[in-house]
Amino acid sequence: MLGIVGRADPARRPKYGGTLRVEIGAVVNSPDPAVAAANPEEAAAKERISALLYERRNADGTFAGVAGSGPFRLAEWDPGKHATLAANPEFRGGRAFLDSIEIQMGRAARDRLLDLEVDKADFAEIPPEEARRATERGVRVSTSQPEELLAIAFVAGRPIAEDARAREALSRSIDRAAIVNFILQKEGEAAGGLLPQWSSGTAFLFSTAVDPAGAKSLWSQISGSPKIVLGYDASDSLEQSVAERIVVNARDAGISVTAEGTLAGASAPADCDARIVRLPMAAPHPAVALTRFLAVLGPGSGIDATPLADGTSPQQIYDRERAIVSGYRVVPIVWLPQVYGLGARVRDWKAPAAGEGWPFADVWIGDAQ
Amino acid sequence: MTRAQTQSQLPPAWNEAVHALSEKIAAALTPSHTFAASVTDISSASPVDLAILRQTLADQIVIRGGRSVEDASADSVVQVTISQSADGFMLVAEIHGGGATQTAMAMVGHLEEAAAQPSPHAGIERRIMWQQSRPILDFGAADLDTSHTLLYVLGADRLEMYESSGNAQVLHEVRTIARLYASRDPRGRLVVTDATHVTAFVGGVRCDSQWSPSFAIECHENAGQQWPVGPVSWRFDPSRNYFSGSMTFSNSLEAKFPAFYSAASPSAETSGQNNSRWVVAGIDGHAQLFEGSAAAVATFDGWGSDIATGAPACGSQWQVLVTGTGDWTETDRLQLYEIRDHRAIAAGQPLEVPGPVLALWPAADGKSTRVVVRNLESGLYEASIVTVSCGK
Repeated sequence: MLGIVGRADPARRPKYGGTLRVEIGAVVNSPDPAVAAANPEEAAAKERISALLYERRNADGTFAGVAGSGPFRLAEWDPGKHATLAANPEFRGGRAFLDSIEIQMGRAARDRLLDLEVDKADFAEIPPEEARRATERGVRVSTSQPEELLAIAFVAGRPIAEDARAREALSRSIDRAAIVNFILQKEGEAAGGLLPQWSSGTAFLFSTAVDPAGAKSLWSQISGSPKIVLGYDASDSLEQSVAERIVVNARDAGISVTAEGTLAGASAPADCDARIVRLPMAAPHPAVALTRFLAVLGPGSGIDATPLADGTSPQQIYDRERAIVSGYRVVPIVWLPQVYGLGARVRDWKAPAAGEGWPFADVWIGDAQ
Repeated sequence: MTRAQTQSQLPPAWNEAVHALSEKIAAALTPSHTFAASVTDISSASPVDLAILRQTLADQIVIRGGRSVEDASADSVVQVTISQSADGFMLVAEIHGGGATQTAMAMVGHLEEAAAQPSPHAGIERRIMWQQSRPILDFGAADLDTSHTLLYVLGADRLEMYESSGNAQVLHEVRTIARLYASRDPRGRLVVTDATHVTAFVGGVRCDSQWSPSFAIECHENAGQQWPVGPVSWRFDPSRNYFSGSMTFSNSLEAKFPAFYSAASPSAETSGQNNSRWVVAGIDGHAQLFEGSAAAVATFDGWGSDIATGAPACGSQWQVLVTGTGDWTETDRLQLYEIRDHRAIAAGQPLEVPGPVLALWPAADGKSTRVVVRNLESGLYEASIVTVSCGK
């Protein structure tokens, strides 16, 4: 996590009061967890807002109790546009330092950055690929550990997806380091396994090296004129960039891949053999994170989605991860961090761990620089 | 180097991990059992010497039937990596031999278990008395007799008592405190009258404890939320993290200051006839000097939120120990200021501490200060005594 860029007010102990101005890209239509989100972006934002309104979660990740039992209560809700949360003085964990949070929805990444720059916002999520640019423009940036996996999931039942040589060839052809360096502007890590090094401690055992010769050799063993159709979310510029890069890498290895964008929330087109997926970690612990990944991936990709039992050892986690990766039905590409832009007056900000919500109950507002 | 020597130089938790890993490696060696081992470290900060770990591991594998040889002639090459996961340090072995690679792993005991021990002196001016992973709001120690000391540690909802004799510390008693108020920045204060009488102020309650003959504690709502600080009582806001500004003196007179996080007044040795001087570190971020009237006579900028009068040993001037600025994501510092002619003059170099100072209270003897620091590297809360030495 990057440090704080200077400050002017001398108080070190948290100060009460003030309003945190938050801007998000998602459009959240209902704060009710029972109302389904229209797309993954809305679902993620809704979960973060709900985490501020509910005191705790059940073991299955759903929210327990009533809205307003958390550190904040809903004071205003303008569907899809704006929300105001007020501090809950009765919160069991102690009243939040902030008086309120103002959330503006549907703000484009460019507008969020601009508002941070001109001090119209105190907090906004920034796409990882924009982090370097944001820093260069003087925005205070906080980066989490890598906690979202960008991967290719082959679609079970598609003829080319059922050919292990094709899956492995595509995996070997991908230049993950180039994706990290050029598309992500070094805000991320090449992924060879399904869990990041900081979580499992064993990611270094998985190769991330590009092997076009090996890919070419495998692909040449496939008869006919094979082709892989790779789907991605057309509204996600990062997925699009990565998909296009993979097409180029594959072409260099003699593999025929075409990328096809789909609308957010829509199911992949029927002719997709594989799709790019984003897999946010549900928790820092490797067994929990891997179990959630398997639950998400399993139904469509044909992998064994049996949950890992409590008390699974590191060796067992690694063995399971290795077995899945070696099957190439899921091809890890890169690990992405969460990147947050912070206003100058935000204090005691700590990037949340994987699966945690925004830590606004512990944030406080100081004087601007 | 003998096996006994190398093993004794690894921390116990690491010895156990090496032992466990060696069993797995030995079972995976090729039939000839010859191996060459190497160790690399990709963790952020493992506390072990790689050469010692490698030697210990090799010795353990040999005990289990392996034969250690030079790389070129070994049938199995064992590459051990010190890694780190969300659960802590781990040892990962890649065993290359017979055209295949096997892996074996062993977790190292958790950081908390390995480090939650009292540390030796951390320096001339700050001495760590105790460290633990649970938050510490305040602490206090008193000698039970010539060879036993009792250390009381106050948390947000518990009071712990440790008995130490020599280098051994034993958790003697734990009592839960049913607080009436919760704060996201909980604060508390311990008043240790003697080794067997302690009073805790926390969460809106006052808890009086004593040995009679067993350890007993009685808690009730702290009416008026008064916290005694020397001869004065400060009124605390138990649902927040600051004092209201109201002070009650031993003669029942009351004084009103701006709401503050902490305050300091000169000791009897330095105050002379004038004992009405106070510096309060206000919640507005300004430290103000008052001299018996409602209006501040001076404002000191750039001070942190916690202050305490320093030891009077350094000259005759009033000296105040002051925390640094910023927030709790950063390391902190303690700077001594001399209050002279309505001015605050920095005295000497600041003492850097490895995390935010969460509590700063003058000790009852007036010669030292109790300081609680949350170490940002280890994540542990450190209860420490800071003494001011002249000429530093």
